[in-house]
Amino acid sequence: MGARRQASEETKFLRGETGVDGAATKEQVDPAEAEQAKAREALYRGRTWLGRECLTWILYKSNDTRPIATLDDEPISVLFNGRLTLRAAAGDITEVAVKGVNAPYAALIRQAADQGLLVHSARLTFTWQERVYEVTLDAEHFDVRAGNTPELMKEEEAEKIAERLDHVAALGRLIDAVLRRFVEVRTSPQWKKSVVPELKAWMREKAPRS
Amino acid sequence: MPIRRGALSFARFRLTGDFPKDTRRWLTKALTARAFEGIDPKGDEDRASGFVELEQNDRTDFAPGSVFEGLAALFAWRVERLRIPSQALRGQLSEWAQAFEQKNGRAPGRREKTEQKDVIRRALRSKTEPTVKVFDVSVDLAAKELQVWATSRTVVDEVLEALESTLEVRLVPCVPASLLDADALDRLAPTTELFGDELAKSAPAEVA
Repeated sequence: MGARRQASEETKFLRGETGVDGAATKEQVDPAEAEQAKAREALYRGRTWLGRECLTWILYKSNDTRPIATLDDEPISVLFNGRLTLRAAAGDITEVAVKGVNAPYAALIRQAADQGLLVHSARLTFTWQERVYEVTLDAEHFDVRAGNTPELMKEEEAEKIAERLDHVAALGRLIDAVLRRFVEVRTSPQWKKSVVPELKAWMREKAPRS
Repeated sequence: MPIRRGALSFARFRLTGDFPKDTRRWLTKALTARAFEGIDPKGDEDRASGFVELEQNDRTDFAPGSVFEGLAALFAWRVERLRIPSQALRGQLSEWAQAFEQKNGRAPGRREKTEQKDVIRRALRSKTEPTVKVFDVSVDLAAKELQVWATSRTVVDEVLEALESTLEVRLVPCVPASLLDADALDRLAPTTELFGDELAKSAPAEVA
């Protein structure tokens, strides 16, 4: 055995990379298996699966443009517009990202959802009363990202802050109202009986021929 | 300052637990307890974080006029990090090594090099200005909701930990799962019809 090769083996042993028998101490992980495990871990972490079901349900409900929930007896309408990310916990494709104003309602998205790729993050527009808010939400944390409020009416700096904080509070209440509506549906017997079959039927709808 | 202008980007949490009547005093006390203290140039720490005032992010007085805006409390989380420029460290060490070799007729040993590296690092530490990042935090005292105006999860978690320990409340993320009680949540499982056949093989079944 060459001196260099022997030194290299000694170094590997000292680093803890090999054992006394010269075999590797760590098992080689199959990249595909590692990816699947990572995708599955992401699904269960913080019950992200419930968030993905929620965003997918919102996408389905927003499809017919009718109000999705109410806040202070006023209807809330939601519209998906722009970037959308779908994620799966198994299968060959674990993530799909699409761009385009109408992309969320494209047949391709429904087909992907039918294959288990549910909505993980999306750009949404909430309309309530005269107010329109645009925001990006994700299924794990539901953090508000890149949110836009209606134009501020006040001019004084102190008043502007109060108005902005009022929008922040309203946006939070809007999101909560929609999530609450989803949770009501999700925990009712209707979820398995009618909502899931309706969702699957919508996912399997054929695109209209142009 | 994102609270004042620009796009809205924040993580939302509900405050749950027992609240004292004087919420303003309670909050101010908590902010003071975890107020920002800068990095000691003579110490070993290379990161410091804590609460500061929103308007003047080098102040930690938390006077009521500087924190409360109507029914909201506004403050910030300041993070300082000291990074010794590795290029300067390498350059000075190389100069020292050359001077050592000329003086002693041999290259410095590994231990001598490590000791000198430590001396240079300490000298550079006192000359280096830390990088400062400030993240806004707002609390809606009426709705008992907290917003951390940061996109970094590390920062969000750090602010949560600081507030939970000082306010002695729980901060619950505003996600669908948080709207269900523990029993209802335990009964739920991913909808296998939606997640596909492969997940269905391993997913736990939902309890009706």
